[in-house]
Amino acid sequence: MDRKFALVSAAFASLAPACFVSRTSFNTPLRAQVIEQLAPHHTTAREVTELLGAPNEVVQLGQRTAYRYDFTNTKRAGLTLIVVTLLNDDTRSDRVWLFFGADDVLTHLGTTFDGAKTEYAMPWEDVHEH
Amino acid sequence: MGRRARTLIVVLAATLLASGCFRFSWRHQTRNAPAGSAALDELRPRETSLDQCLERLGAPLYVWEYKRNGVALAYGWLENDEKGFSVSVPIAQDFSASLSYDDADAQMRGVVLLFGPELTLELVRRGYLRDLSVEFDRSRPAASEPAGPEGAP
Repeated sequence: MDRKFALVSAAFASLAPACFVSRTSFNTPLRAQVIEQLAPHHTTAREVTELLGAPNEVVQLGQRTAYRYDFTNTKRAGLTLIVVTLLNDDTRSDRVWLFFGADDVLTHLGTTFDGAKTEYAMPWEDVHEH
Repeated sequence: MGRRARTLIVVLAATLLASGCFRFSWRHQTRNAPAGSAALDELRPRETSLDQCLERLGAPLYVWEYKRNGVALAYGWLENDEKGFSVSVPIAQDFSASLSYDDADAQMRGVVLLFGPELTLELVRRGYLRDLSVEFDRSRPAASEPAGPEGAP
């Protein structure tokens, strides 16, 4: 019994170094409470930059402009067993696009808050099924 | 030592030695959640407004100018599954020949929505973002646009 236990323990111990998890993020998470303070037809571009700082991207749309703010989160999990390597990457992001009219007043906004939903998983798992 | 034990040892030893020569890898990669087909089916050209699209689909990945004073929005997602088998055989002291087979589809799928100057939906096109961005010339990228982690189309 002791011999069997020792063999099983040794097998587990030899597998343990073959597992890894890592996480990579880009920018800082966006806070929904701050975004909720933005009011279309009232908030100006100046007020937006005072609240959120410099945007990650500015796009000119004729007379209009659009600002992008985002945060990206990647979780990676891997397992190597002698000749088999399993690896899974899941990347999701918080994104906010703010559209301004010619007068620099906010007209439209689109938000996605998925950065915190990123998961560690194995290749056969469906991370979007929940 | 029994016959089964000897066989097990030989198989394990062979496997360990073989690991330097061949390898099987399975890599799964996901980026962003796919836009719901129900939400996409609700979009009606000449009826749906920019506000309604943003409310249903959330923030797009990319935005650029369409025609004059119009807007193009691109949503994209990636579900990439790669299963690869590689073999490496030494043929000389300092060189090795290798052969690999990969079944990879690394393109991001998505949808592009085009809005006219009145910000009413004109056209919805689904497909690979790389193809769509060529078709609807993303001619005015932002000057400050970085090479972000999403992988621009």
